[in-house]
Amino acid sequence: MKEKEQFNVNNKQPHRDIPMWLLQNDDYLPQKDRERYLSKTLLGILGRLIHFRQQMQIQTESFFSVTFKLIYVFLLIFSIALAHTITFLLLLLAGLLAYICLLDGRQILSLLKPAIGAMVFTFIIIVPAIFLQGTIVMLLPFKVFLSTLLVAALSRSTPFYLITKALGGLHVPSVFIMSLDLTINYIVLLGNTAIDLLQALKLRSVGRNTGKYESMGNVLGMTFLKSQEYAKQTHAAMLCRGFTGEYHVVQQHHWQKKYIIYTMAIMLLLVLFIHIEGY
Amino acid sequence: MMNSLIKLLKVQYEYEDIKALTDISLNIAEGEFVLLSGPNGAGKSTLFKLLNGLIFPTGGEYFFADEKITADKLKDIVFAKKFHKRIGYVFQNPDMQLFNHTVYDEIAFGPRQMGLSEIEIKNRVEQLLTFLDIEHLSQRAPYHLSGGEKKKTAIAAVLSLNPDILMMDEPVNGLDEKSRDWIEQFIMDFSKAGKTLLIASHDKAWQLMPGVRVVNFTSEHTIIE
Ligand SMILES: Nc1ncnc2c1ncn2[C@@H]1O[C@H](COP(=O)(O)OP(=O)(O)O)[C@@H](O)[C@H]1O
Ligand SMILES: [Mg+2]
Repeated sequence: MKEKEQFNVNNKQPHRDIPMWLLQNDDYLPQKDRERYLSKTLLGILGRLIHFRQQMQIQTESFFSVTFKLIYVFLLIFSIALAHTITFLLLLLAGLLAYICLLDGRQILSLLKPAIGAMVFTFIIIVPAIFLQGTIVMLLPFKVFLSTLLVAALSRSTPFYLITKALGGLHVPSVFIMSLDLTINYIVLLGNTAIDLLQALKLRSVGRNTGKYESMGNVLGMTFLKSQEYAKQTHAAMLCRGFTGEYHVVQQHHWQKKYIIYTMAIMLLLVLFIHIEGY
Repeated sequence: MMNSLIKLLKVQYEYEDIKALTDISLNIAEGEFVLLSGPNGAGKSTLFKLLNGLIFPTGGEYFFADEKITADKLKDIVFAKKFHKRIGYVFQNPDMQLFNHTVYDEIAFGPRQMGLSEIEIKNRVEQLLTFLDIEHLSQRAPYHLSGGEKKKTAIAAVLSLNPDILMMDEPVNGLDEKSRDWIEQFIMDFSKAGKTLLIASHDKAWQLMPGVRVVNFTSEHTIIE
C-alpha cells in the first residue's frame, strides 16, 4: 500500500474532461450488411505518379470542385488518347502552357519534370517503331507528355484524399477508392521503410562494400516483406474497428457559378475536338 | 462482484512451431485495470491478437462476455461487428492502424461502420479531437504526423467506438517524455472513470499506478500473478 503512494499522480498536466458518452455503455446492435472483400494493391502504379508528399497543407477546396476537376482531366485525357492529328494536341498544349505561365518557377519545374521524363521514356520505347511506321507514331510521346502534365497539374493543385473523395461522388465503387487510399498509405510507408533501410545500409557500409548491389537487393526484399506485414496488420486494424466490406465516403455538395463556366469551356473544347478530328 | 468481461481457460497458441502462449488462464472483470508486464517475446502482443479475434486458440477456450469466441462465430457479420465494437485495441505500431486520408476520417471510421448518423459522428469526433488535444490535426493526413500525434490519433480512432474495454500494446514505446506523461495520465483518468483497461508495458513504474492489477508474463509464455 505504501509503495502505491510513491507513484506521483499529481505532477502531470491535468487532462481535459472525458466526454460523457465515453463513460456510458452503448446499446449497439449491428445491422446486417453485405460482405465484400477488397483487393489492396490494385492501383499501385497510379499512386506513384502523384506527388502525395506535398499535401501537408490544409485545403479549403470543396469536394465538388475536385469532382469537376476530375471530370475535366478525365475528358481531356480521353480526347488526347483518341486524337489522330496534331492540331487538337497543339491547341491543348497552348492552353496548358498558358496555365503553366501563371505558376512560379519551382512549380513549373515540378510539373514539367514528370511530363518530360514520361515523354523521353515513351520516345525511347517507340524508336524502333518510327523506322517501321513512319512519323505518325511520334504523336505518342507528345500525347504522353500532355496527359502526364494534366495529371501532374491536378495533383499539384489537389490533395490526394480529396481526389479519392471526389471519386466517391462519381459513384466509383467504394472498394476501388479504398484500394486507392490504402495504396497511397502504403507507398508513403514503404517509401519511408525503404529510405530507413537504405540509410541503415549506408551507415553500416563502412569502407568498401563489395556486395553493394546484393545489399540493395536485400533492402528491396525486406521492403516487400514488410509491405505484406503492413497489409496484414492494416486489415486487422480495419476488422477491429468493425469493417465488414463497406467503405463509406462522405460528400458535401455546393453549386457555384464557376463550374458552369468551366463546364462550358470544356464543352467548347470537345466540340472543337470533334470538329478537328472529323468524328 | 462485477461482471466478468474476459475469461481465458488454459489457452495455447503456436505460430507454426513457435510456442507463443502456454496454458494461459485469466479473468478480467468490468472496471478492472490490468497491466501485462513481461520481457520481449513473452507473448503479450500475441495475447492481444487472440483477445481481438484476429487469431484463435490452438488449445483451451476464450470467452468474451460469457460468449465463446471461435472463428466460426466471427464469420457471422452481426456478431463480429458487435464483438469488435466492444473491444478497443490500440496497436503497438500506429502506422499500421491508420489507413484513412485525414485524422477526422480516421476517427469517424468506426462510428461510420456502426451506422451512426453523420451528426452524431461529427459530435463524437469533435469531442474526441478536443479531449485528446488534436483539433488542429483534424484535416491532416495521418501518415505525415509525428509518433506522439499518430498515437493520439489511433487512441481517438478506437475510443470513437466507445468500447467496453480498451487494450493498448506498449502504448509509450518510442514516444518522448511529454507524450508518455500524457498517456500515463490518460490511462489513470480512464481507469478512475471506471473504464476497463488492459495495457501491456514493461515499464516498472507503471506497476505502482493506483488501482492497478499486475499480471506477469514469463519467458515461458505463461502468466503468474
Ligand atoms: N507472426 C509471427 N510468426 C512467428 N512467430 C511469431 C510471430 N509473432 C510473434 N512470434 C513469436 O511469438 C513469441 C511471442 O511474441 P509476441 O507476442 O510478439 O511477444 P511480446 O509482445 O511479449 O514481445 C515470440 O517468440 C515471437 O518470436
Ligand atoms: Mg509485443
